[in-house]
Amino acid sequence: MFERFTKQARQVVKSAVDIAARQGSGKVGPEHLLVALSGVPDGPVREVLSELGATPATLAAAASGEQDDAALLARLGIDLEEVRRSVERNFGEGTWARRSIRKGHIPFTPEAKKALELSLRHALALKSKSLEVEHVLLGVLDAGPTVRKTLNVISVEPGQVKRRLLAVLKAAG
Amino acid sequence: MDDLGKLAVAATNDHPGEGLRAIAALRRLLDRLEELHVEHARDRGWSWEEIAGALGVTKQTVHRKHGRRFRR
Repeated sequence: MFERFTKQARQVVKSAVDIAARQGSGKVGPEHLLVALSGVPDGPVREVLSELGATPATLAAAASGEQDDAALLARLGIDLEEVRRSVERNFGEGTWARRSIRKGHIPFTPEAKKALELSLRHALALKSKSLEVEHVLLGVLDAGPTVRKTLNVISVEPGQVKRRLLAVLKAAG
Repeated sequence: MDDLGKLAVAATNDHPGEGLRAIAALRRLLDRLEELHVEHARDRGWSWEEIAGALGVTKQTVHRKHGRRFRR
């Protein structure tokens, strides 16, 4: 399946795996592909995502679900931010976010697999010989509720990203 | 006591989903704190027996949950 992927698209898949591992997530989901895509250094994917405020930092926070947890814990009278500060006072700065990297193979979720399959379909539909990062983004946007949820945290709709990306691609010819 | 009171309220809330999600968030927080404290204890040279004793669980439990992260 990966033979049509460009070097950059392969790199996105690899870095999604790294991001999932760093987050301590046992699986690679489409939200990790999305975070990886926001780290692409240039081109239409970078342009569209950064325009909408979807940067590696904002998306990684959104994908980790930590903001949801903070709100839920606040209802129980627990201040997650205070817990984090206390951990970093005791164990050192940066310890809260740093996860021990999981060893071994991390599987892809069904939605992540679907995203990659759909990206291949988008590449074919757009009559592209190779599978570029923009096709991966289109696949990720169509893959299901997880990415919608992640984007909604930063007040972005998947449809918005898709329309903007297709417009940019069309303009570029 | 106040926090437990709030927890009880959240758990018996009219919207069961909210209470359940709050419990799940609390469990993620506990798991994260446990990871950090276990790592800290291992760094300080604590044995798995000592860690298990302090956590009030069996050595097998603590090893199953955390052992993998320390195998190098």
